[in-house]
Amino acid sequence: MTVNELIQRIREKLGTVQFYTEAEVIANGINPAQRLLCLLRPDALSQRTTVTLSTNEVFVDLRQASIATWQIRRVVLATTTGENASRSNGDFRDILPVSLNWLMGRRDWFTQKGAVTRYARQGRFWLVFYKRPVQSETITLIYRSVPTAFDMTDLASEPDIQSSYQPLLADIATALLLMKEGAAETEKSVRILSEIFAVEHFDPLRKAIDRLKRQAAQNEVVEARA
Amino acid sequence: MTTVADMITRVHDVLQDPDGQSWSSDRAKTQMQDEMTRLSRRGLWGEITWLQGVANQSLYTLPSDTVEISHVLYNERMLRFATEDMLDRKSAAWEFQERDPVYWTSDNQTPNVLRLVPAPLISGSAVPVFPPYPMINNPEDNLIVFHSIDMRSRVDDEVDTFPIHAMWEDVMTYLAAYHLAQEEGAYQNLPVSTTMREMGTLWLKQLGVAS
Repeated sequence: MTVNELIQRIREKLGTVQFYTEAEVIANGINPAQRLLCLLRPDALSQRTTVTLSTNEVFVDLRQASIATWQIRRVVLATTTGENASRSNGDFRDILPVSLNWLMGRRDWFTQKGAVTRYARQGRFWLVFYKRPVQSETITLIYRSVPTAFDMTDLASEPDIQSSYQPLLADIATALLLMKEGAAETEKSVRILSEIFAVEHFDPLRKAIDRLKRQAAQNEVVEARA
Repeated sequence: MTTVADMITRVHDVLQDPDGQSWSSDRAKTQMQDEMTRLSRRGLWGEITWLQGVANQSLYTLPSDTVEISHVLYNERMLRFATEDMLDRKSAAWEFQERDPVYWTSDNQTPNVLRLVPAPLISGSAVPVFPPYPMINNPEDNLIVFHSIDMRSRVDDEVDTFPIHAMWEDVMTYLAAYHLAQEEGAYQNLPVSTTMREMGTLWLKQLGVAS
C-alpha cells in the first residue's frame, strides 16, 4: 500500500471533512500513525544491524550506529542479520544488559580487558560495553525501530511495517487527524483507536474528555441560571 | 529529516492555526524548546565527555548545557561521589589535599562543574591516541564524565534538523500543542489541550519515561 493509496483511504474515512492538506495528512496523520502502531505493537517493526567493536572500544553512539533505535531488544556477540549466523572470533553469545550503576559499582571496570559480556545504557544515545575487547568483535544489535517517515516527495513509497498492519494505518491516521476538531471527534478517535489497540491505552484520554464534557455541561447550567 | 520548521507547522496544524496568527512561529518554537528542556531535565540525553586532568586543579567545567553529572572516572577508575557534608565529616581542610583523586562532588557548584577530591598531582596528556579507542583522547590521568545534557540549543533555529529519532518529534509536538492550547485567552482550546496532553503522556509511557 503506497502513501498515495493511504491518503485516498484517509480522505474517504474523513468523509465531508476535506480541509486537510496532503502534507498535513502525512505529517500529522500517516507518520505519527506508523509510530503509534510501533509503540503499541512493538513487534510490528524490528530490525538488526551489526556494529564492529574495535580493540579496546567500549562506547557506541546509537545516533551513528542506528538512529532509528527506540528500544534495544538483544545484543549478540556474532552476526545474526541474515539467514546464517556467523560467530565473532569463534564466540556466539548474548551480551547481557546491566544498569550503568551496576557497571560503575565496579571501580576498575574501565580497565578490564577480555570477553565482552555486558552492556549498559548511558541515557538514550550511548551503549557502554564491558569488558574492553582484546580484538575486534562483531556485534549485532536487535532493536525496535522507528519507521521511515514520509514526505510529499515520496508518495509512491510503502511503509516499512509489515503489510498485514498497513490497512490499519489509515484508521489510526484518521483518528489522529480528527483529534484537533474537538471533544466529539476525539471521542470518535478514541473509539477507533480502542478497536485497534488495547482499550486501556486510551482510557485516560476518554476519561479526560468525559470530565471536560461534564464541566462544560455544568457551566452551561450555571450560565442559564445566571 | 524533519526540521524545526516542519515541527512548528505540525503544531500550527494541530492548533488549527496554519498561518500562525494566534500563535506565531517564534512562540511555537519557544514552546518546543521549553518541552525539550522539560524532557532534558529527566536526564534522558546522556553524554560521555573527556576532560583533561590538570595538576593541582580541583574544579572542572563541562559544557554549559550539562543538566546533571552522574559518574566520573579519573585515570580509568571510578571515583566515589561525596557531598561536602560527607567530606567535612571525613577530614578537615579536604579542599587543600593533593594526591590521587578518590571522590568527586558537585555539591554547592553550578550543575556543569565538578570538584575532584583531592586535587590530582599530575596533569594528563591531551595528545590524541591512535587507534582512537576507548576514546580519541587519552583516559590516563584524565577524566571521563558521564552526564546528561539539555538539547534546547539544538532546536533553536528553524533550519535545524531535529536531533533525535522521530518518536520524540511526536512527543514534542503534542506537548507543545498542549501547553499552547491551554493558555488563558481568546484562543484557549481545552479539548485539544487535554487530548494533546494525553497523547504526549501515552507516547512518553511507551518510550519508558514515567510521567
